[in-house]
Order: sequence, then C-alpha cells, then structure tokens
Amino acid sequence: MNHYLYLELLLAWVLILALQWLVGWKKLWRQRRRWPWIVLGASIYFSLADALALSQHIWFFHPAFLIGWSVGNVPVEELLFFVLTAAMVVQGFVLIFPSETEGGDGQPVRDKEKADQVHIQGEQGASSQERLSDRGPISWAESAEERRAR
Amino acid sequence: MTYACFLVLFLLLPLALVSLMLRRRLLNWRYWLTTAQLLLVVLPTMALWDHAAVVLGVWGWTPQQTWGVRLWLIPLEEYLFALLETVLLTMLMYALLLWTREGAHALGRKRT
Repeated sequence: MNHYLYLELLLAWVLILALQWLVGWKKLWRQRRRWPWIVLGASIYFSLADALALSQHIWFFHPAFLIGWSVGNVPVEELLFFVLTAAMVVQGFVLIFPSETEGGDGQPVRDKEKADQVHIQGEQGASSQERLSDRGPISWAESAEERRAR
Repeated sequence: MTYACFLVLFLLLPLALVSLMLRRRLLNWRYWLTTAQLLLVVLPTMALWDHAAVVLGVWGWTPQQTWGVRLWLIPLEEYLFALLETVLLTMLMYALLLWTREGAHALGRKRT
C-alpha cells in the first residue's frame, strides 16, 4: 500500500500553483499583503468544517493511502488540500480580476497622486452605496495606509 | 448529518452573510465574470482529480448521507462544494479589495 498516494495526488494542485506564479508572480508578489490572509482564514475554516464532516462520516479516507499524521481527526493531507485549493482560487482571482489602475503592461500606477485621483473621482457625486457598488473596476493600487507604512 | 446539511451550514450560510454584507456591491459583472472563468477551470479539474482519487480508493462518501446522484463516481454535492467554495473565496477576496479601497477613501478624506 502506498501511504503517500494522497500526497502525490496533491502535486496536481502544486503544479497549478507553480504555473500561476510562473505567469503572474509580479502581481501575486505585489498583492502579498492581501490574498494570504484569505488563504489562511479559509484553510482554517474549511479544516474545522472537515473535522465535523469526518466525525459525521459524510466522507472518509482509506488509511492505507495516508501518511498517518493528523491534527485531531483531520489528516495533514486534507489540511494541505484546503491550503492548496484556497490558494489556487484566490491567486487565480488576483491574476484575472481586472484592475483600473494598471497599465496595459500589467504594471500598477505607482504615482500616488494619480491613484488618489482615481479614488476621489469615484467618490464624487455618488451616494455611499453607489460609490461602493462597482461603477468602475476596483483598484489594486495599495491603500494610502500601506503606502504610508513603507 | 448529510452532505447537503454540511453545504448549507458551512458554505451557503457564510455566502449569505458575505452577500448581505456586500449587497449592491455584488452587482458587478467583472466580479462575476472572473468567478465564472475560475469555475470553468476549477470544476473540470476538480472532477478529474476527485474521480481519479475515488477510483484509486483514497476516499469515499457514505451513500446514505448523499443524494445518490453521481456524475462519474462523484456525488452531486461534491460539485456543489467546489462551486460554493470557489464563490465564497472569490467573494471574500472581492470584499477585502473593497474594504482596502474604502480604507484608502477614508484616509484620503482625513488628509484633505
């Protein structure tokens, strides 16, 4: 019996993540203060939900294909699965979602004034709901707080 | 607990909460187009991967706790899990984007 089989299956997701980084590492690196929090939170949340599903026998694993390490009743392979799939979806979103403040070459508008102008223009003449509903693409530009922190 | 109950409790409920939080902000075709594009990749990939794992015997589902409808060897609920998980994750990422944009707005107002 191959105790590494589930781990080996996870390599499929690792390959997709690697491909995402190969294609869009600049954008992913630039957004490194945002998306990892969603991945972390979602991984913890889904792992806890998984613990309940396993205890209720909604789904089950064949121990012969697991390395045998677990956190509570959740196999480590399953924890890794949630980290990898959450990362794949969130990174995919970061890579695909259009951004107004990026130029045609995918580079963000670094000019602080220009980024602020975009924000202010979005704010003018709109109720708060209208402003927050998307009348234009969301800015991927760093927030003023982030810029100031640097 | 059935798989359907699990989906309601851990995916539909948080999705409803995030949707309530975002409300009209969800009327954004760019957001939905991005999510749809991701689903076009996620669902077939997941189906192929999941099916292979079931064939190899790595995991399975208790038949009494699923609806009994299977596409390949995978219960319908599993597809719904992948779909709802993807939508929840993109919605959270979208909410984070809006939230950071609002943060920039608020700071901009204080500055002026």
